[in-house]
Amino acid sequence: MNYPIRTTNLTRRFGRAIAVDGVDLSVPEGAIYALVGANGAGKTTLIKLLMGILRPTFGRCEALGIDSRRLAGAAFHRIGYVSENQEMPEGMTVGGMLDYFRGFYPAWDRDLEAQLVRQFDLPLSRKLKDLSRGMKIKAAFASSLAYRPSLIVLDEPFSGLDPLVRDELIEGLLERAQETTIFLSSHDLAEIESFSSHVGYLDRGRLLFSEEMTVLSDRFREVTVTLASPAPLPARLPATWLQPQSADCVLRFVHNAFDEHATPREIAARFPNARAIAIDPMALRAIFLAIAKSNRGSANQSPAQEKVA
Amino acid sequence: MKQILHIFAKDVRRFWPEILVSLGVLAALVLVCSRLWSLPQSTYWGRDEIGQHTDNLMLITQILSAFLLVSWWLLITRVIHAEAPTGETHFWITRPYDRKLLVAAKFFFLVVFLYAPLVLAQMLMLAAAGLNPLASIAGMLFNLMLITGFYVLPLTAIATVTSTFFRTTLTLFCALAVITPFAVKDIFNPGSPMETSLNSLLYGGLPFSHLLPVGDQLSLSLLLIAVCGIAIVLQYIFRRSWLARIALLAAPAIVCIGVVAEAPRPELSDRAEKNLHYPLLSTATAGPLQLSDGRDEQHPVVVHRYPGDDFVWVRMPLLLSPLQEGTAATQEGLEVTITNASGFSWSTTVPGWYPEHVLLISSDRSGSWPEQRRQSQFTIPITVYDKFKSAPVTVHLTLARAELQEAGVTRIPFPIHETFVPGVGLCRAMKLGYGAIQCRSAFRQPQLTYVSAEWSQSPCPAPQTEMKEVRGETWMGFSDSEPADLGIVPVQYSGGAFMSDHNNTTGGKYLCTGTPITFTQYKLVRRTLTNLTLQNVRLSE
Repeated sequence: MNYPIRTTNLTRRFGRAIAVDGVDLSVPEGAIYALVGANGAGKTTLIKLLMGILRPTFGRCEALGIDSRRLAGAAFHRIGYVSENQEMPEGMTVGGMLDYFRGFYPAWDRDLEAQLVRQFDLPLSRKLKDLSRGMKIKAAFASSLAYRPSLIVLDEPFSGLDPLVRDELIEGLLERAQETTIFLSSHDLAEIESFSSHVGYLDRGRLLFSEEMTVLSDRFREVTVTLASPAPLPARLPATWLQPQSADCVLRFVHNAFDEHATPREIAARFPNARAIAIDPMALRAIFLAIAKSNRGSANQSPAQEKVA
Repeated sequence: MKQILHIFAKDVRRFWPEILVSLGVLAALVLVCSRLWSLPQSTYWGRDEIGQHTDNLMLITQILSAFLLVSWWLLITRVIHAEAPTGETHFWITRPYDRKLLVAAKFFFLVVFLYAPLVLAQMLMLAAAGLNPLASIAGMLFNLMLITGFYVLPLTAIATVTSTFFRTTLTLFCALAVITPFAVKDIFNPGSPMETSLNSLLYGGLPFSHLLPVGDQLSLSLLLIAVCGIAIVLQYIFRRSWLARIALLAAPAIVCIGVVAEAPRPELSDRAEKNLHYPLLSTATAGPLQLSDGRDEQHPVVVHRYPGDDFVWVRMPLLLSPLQEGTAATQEGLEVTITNASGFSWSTTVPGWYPEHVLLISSDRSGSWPEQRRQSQFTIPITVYDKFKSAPVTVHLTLARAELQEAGVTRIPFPIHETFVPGVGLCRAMKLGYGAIQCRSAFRQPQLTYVSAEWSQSPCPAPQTEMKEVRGETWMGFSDSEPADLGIVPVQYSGGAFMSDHNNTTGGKYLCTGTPITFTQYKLVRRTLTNLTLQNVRLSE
């Protein structure tokens, strides 16, 4: 399998602060990979490392098989990059910008460009500096999709956009998904849940997991155990049980290694006098909240938990 | 090449207002200079209407020169920042730009909209000044190199390592703030680069164009080109912003060192500079000009205090050996150390070159100084003088001198109306006062030139009875020869009024029609240092 993005022990420090901490990541070809994490988790830094904008302190990363340190010039013929913080050539009109960029890409598809302009309803004669943020992002999308890149890297592309613009952009992106690999970062789980094929979670520079979305959804379950009588939280719960809470006769936790057959037996064995055991699938948002809270709690770990996921 | 033209075309479309401003200022400068040089000669130094008009045009020339620099600053900064090499958020860094081609595109832009118009403007200005532009190609190229080293490349490099116009401006002002104290100190130093710079302003020169030593412009500009070039390469090609900034910090340091050093006319108090530029000769190889104590009963040491001054003038008589024919010597600096009997010592330096510091010229033109006797003069603060005036002292003189060789003589009968003098330029002589000469030359002042004319003692054309040869003379140019001086306006002025060192001149001083005016050019042979110790010197008024 090809991996358009691959990192090995990727680390980036800013002085004493570690923004990206030993990240090993492989994004398979054709994936729509969502890198999620809270603000300040290191997502933008990791993307800048991928794009060669920043240099790694340690480790290595590759985009389309090219060491990101050497990513320049013609290598960007096959890479599209859009960032919420990107400075556009503000003095140009949208049409002028597309005309200008066209000259850089041998594979620029004018029909696709026209289609994107129509699809995003771009005002060709208006200057970029006069456009709304949503329009600017759409113009950036159009200029990064029109040459059919093999890899599209998006840094918080939907941040702060209204739902209509966001849906337009996602639609435009998904129409190209079959011919490209998409890597995007977001702190809004809801916006990527519907279309991502893979997901990675970055927390304080560390990649806590990276896997297919379906696998992740299958792996996490919210478990509710109803006991016969009130009982305190048992000591030394398994590490796969996240965020355990108890109230009266009810014990709740998130199981991060759910197995259709083994997990119910494991829980039943642990709570032989349970009156009921409910195991429910979780939304992506709930999964990440559980992971995030577990990790934040790990710094001052309670004796009831062995370790976090 | 395709990418270079693609970026270039985009920049032209985007920055046409800045381009138009720059070209407009340059065009205005050409027009004003052309008008200035077309004014009638007889009123040039006058106080009449045309004289006032001339002054106004010169002021406009200076203002336009300054505006042109500002417009370049704007143009360069805007064009570089269109694809700012610093920062992590600019659109172009994740587009298929070839960084080398990007640099080439930016310099191509500067060539087309800065250098080419400047060359054209300078050729037009030279033609308007009556000088042949094609005869000054070497000077023009040298001047372009100096402009690149002192203006274009530093501005480009600063724009390269900064991300916004505001930061570029701030950095530029910081650099100027570092240099200015050295420059201001230099203003009050007669004959220094800054003082020369101010003088050049009077002749339509460029502000600060002579901030740097004339003779060292080449090496300093090459250094700046190297430093700025390294910063640009580090930033554009290797994306090492901090290294580029550190490299660039060296630039103002180099300028400061250059200003302080003032080579090759250093202050003699700077021993390293002195040794470098003025090697001390042994007695055996002391060269053609020998100095010795010139005191005798008729020529004592003269100490004079003008009313109100807090210093005294000391004039020390020196005897100079005869020079070989066709040679001359100038004093380029003087260091004096006075020690009294109790061991108290005091030193002073007299830096720079003055026309009156010409020590001697060879016998065929030395009518002014038949005795080969000159005075070295300096001042002593009155508080210091009080410690020396009561008893004999020892005076140690260190003279930095230049030995010159005659390089060509041209004689032209007076009056001269815009006549080309080989090696000098387009000259005209005027009857102002006792006569004056003024020359325009391309890109640089001429080599050190001695201009002389025989005065008539009676008004012309009255019969000249009891003719007594009295020579009016003046000096112009510099002994340091480079193909061009730094400046946008390519025409340099030189000249002066005819004077005489003779005190016994009685009667009138008239320049009559047909009187030959002689231009004698000198080239520098070498610079040397001469020490002379005078014992038992009485410094009494």
